[in-house]
Amino acid sequence: MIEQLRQRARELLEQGKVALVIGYGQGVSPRTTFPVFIKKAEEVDRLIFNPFCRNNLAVYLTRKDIMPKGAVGLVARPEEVRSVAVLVQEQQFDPERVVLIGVACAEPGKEGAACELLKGRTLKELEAEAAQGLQGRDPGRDVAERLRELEAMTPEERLAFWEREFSRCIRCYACRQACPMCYCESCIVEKNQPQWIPSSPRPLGNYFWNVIRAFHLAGRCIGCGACARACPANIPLDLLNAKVAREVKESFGYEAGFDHEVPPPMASFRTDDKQEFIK
Amino acid sequence: MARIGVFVCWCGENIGRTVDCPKVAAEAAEFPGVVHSVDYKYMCSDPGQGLVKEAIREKKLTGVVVAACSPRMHESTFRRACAEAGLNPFLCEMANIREHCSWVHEDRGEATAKAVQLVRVMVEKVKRNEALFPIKVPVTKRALVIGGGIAGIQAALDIANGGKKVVLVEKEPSIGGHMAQLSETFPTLDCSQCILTPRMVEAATHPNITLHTYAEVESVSGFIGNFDVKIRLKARSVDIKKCTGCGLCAQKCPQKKIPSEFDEGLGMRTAIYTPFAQAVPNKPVIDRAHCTKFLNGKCGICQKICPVGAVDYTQEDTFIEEKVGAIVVATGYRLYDFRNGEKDYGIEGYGEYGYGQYKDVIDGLQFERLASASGPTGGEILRPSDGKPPEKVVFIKCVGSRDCAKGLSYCSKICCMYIAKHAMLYKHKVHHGTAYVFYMDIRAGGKSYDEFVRRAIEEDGAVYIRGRVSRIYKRGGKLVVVGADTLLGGTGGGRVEIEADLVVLATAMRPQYGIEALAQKLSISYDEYGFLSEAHPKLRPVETNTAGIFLAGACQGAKDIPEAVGQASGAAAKVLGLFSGDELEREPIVAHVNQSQCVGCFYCEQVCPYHAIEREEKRDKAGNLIARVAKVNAGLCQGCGACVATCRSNSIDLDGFSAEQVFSQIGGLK
Amino acid sequence: MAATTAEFEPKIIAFVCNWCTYAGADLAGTSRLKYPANIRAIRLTCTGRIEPMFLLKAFQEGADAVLVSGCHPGDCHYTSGNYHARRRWTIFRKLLEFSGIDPRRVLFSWVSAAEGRKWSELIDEITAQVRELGPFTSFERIVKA
Repeated sequence: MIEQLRQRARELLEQGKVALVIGYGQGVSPRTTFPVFIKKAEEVDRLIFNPFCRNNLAVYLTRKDIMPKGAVGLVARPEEVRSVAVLVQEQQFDPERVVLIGVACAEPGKEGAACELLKGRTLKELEAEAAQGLQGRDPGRDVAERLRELEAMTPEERLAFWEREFSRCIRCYACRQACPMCYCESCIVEKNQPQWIPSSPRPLGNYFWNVIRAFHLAGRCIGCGACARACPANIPLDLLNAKVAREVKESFGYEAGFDHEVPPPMASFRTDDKQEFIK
Repeated sequence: MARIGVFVCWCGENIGRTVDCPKVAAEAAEFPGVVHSVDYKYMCSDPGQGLVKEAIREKKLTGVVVAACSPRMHESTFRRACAEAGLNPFLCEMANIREHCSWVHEDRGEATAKAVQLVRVMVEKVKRNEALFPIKVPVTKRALVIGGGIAGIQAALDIANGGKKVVLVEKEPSIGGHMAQLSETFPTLDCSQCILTPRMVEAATHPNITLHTYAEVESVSGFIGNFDVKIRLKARSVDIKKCTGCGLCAQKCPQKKIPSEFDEGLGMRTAIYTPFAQAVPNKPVIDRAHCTKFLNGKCGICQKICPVGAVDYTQEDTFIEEKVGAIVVATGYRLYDFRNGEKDYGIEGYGEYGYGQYKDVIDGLQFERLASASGPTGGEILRPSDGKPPEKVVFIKCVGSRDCAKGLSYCSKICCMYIAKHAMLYKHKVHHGTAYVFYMDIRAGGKSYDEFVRRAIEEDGAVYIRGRVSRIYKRGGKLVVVGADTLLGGTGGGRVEIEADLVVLATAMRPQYGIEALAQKLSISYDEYGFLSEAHPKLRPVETNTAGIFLAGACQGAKDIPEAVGQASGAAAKVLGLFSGDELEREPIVAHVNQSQCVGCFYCEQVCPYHAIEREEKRDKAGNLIARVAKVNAGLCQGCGACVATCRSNSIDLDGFSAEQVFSQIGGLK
Repeated sequence: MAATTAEFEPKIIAFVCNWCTYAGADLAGTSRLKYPANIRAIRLTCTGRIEPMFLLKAFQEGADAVLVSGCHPGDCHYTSGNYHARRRWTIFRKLLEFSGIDPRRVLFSWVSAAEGRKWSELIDEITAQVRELGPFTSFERIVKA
């Protein structure tokens, strides 16, 4: 499988179809991987793929310092495919600019789990494959379970829960850095005229920041979990995002990243959208 | 440094009774940035405005807060006063301490405390206001009139006679509307067609009027002075340029049994038809739903017989686009569907009046057709069931109107008059007959109106019975009308029973079907009954809340011909006023993009209802595309702010309602 | 609770659309309908203009509840602002609930320019409801921390 992956990357670079391939490389230990940026065909052997490839590589596609003038090849798990779909939907680049090399792992994080190269070549085909496989679609069982626990609490208890969780936030913005959807060049948290969100790592600013970030991901988060993994304080950011994604699905019948040609749910509406909560 | 002036108005007793105005002024004087704070009995009066102007000049104010009534009431008054004193009008804000405070709260302490806060909120806002300058936009001096009834015709003629171009759109094959169906008109009994048809011809031949009949407005975009209108020209199946209106096609059409809309189902028409003999244009259309050629491909007689080859079965709907600067909506009314009720509106029908089951229970417009010389009976009053002249006719008023329980709560206004007219016309034609009128009240306010009703009663012997009808049923050949005469006492409760030959129901006036969809296309509002809303019930009765769109006639509420015509002329005057200059000024409340922060996701573009978001390409010196960013077309932007709230990077802000202003307002409520 | 419900006067901040609810509240005034003085309405162009952050700021400034109110569906002065707002609030309200803000403190309504009575009754109702809930001390704790 890895040989096929490298072969695809080699072809793309040799034929000049892409100027850069972004993929995974081997880290210092067998269980660590890190992003690699390959510009020459002879370097494709640095590419690997295994169950420990967990970073969302789509985050680099909006980085002006990384993106070449021409097209880029991207090793794309369903998470990357869906992220690319959202980014295309949000006009961040034309679909032709990113050549996807679709990959998937049966059980991410599990030693020896089967990995494969996906059949689809176009974004549309890969979206369909991502939609078929559960991979990268449902939040893990533990996320669903933890959502249930939180939802069973009273609002007061939940507020106390999040107060506790957010109290560890040091406002390092690693979550933002790891997230492909956080591509704003100037984040609202940096706005000071007026100041939207207090910038010091104190309870109110931390609450505002994490809640507003979750809202900004409504209809956009594809649930890759990169934010939660990047968080040095282990704040369960994936829970907030999973909750919002579920509400979007239940209210508007929409899941992010399976079709880049439809309008985003938070920039569109139906006249018969539900409104029981409105008096 | 901000130098804010606060002006607290007593509004006579309206505010002063509940709010301690001197106290509000005294507390406001202590707010940071406030350098001047006074209270006065009537701030909107000339001396009151003088206080504002004087303070602007003498205290060199940088902002003004007038604590008084609603900004919807007097914002423009005080902004004008500020401008006269040299302060940019957009540096003036109002704190609403009347409608939102003194009028709705009773406790003087609470109301005063709230008033102080409301003033602080606006002081905080105005400190962050910026001088804004009206946006000048060009005006297309061409008007669209929707609806070719008497109101639309009048508006179109008045605008056209004022020297401006008009596009008149009518959905039926002919203009004329309901007035063309009427027999004679109250209170003068002049023949409706005689006074209307010359106007129809004038409208159709006026060099400044382009007439589109059998056409509907498909979509409207743009804004005052600059609307883009798409009009659907429905397939007539007849080439209107070739057709000479000879009428041969209709004569030869084998489909002759289609209920005529113009005759309200009392007469028949053919499948290729003009609605009535005096139609304008006098060119037929094919009713494809009833035409044999369209139903089963056979026939084709009209095409064969047409001497000029005007019949074209292959015609399709076409679309034209017109640019106009103003729109007059004159879509008129229809009558309440008493047979079926109007379930969509939650209104029941009047089953007890015989639904559609009794042929001789008809509505007011049907009676008009019976009484009209151009009608199916040639103007003789003959009942639909057997064509005999009715000996006794019962008229029932307020069917559907003024009936909160199962109809509509409003008064349809015209029925009292036209029923009196009907009773009169009936007596003039069936001398020995008797007209009974069941009424709740007689509402005959209007020039010569009451005299007219009295004539019907006193000279023509109409029997007026004050009461409601509970039921109509058939007995032999007669319709038994069971009602109450509430002016009669006694044990029977005033029960009356009349064996009638014909019953006429004065059914409620309703706005036309599809009015809501049209209103949404135009972005204008309508009330719970579907009548279009005027901008102010007293002072702006022909304007809508959307600048550049005006109302004429019964689409805005029940009204009779003189009122509809008067309103149409009013709307035309507004349009001509709008067209008097080459440019007009718009409120400069528009959105702006901070392009250095925009990341080009274009959510803004998708939520903008006015297509005011444009894409701008940013290139480096070598011409390489760096980014695509959003830009607001200030001419199209209406300042709703949907884009602002949608923008995650907060790269868009709205003049006059900026994030900074709103935040400071919230902060003012600390 | 910091205060007993008897002496507690809730602070409710409303964000309202200029064309419908603000005008409806004006009509309540013109009709002299009485309602509690706990509401403070901030006038905006459209519910479509109202950002989630406004609500959070209101809580920061000590609101015990917030209200967003605008035109009924189909009646938006700008055609569709209220539809976009409805989507926004559908999600934001759930997010706030999930992150610990009682949905009974985050209120939405459609009040037209003709519904002065609805406005006054709504303010009666929500003021009573928030009075019942008591002061939003848990959020105040976060604000002051």
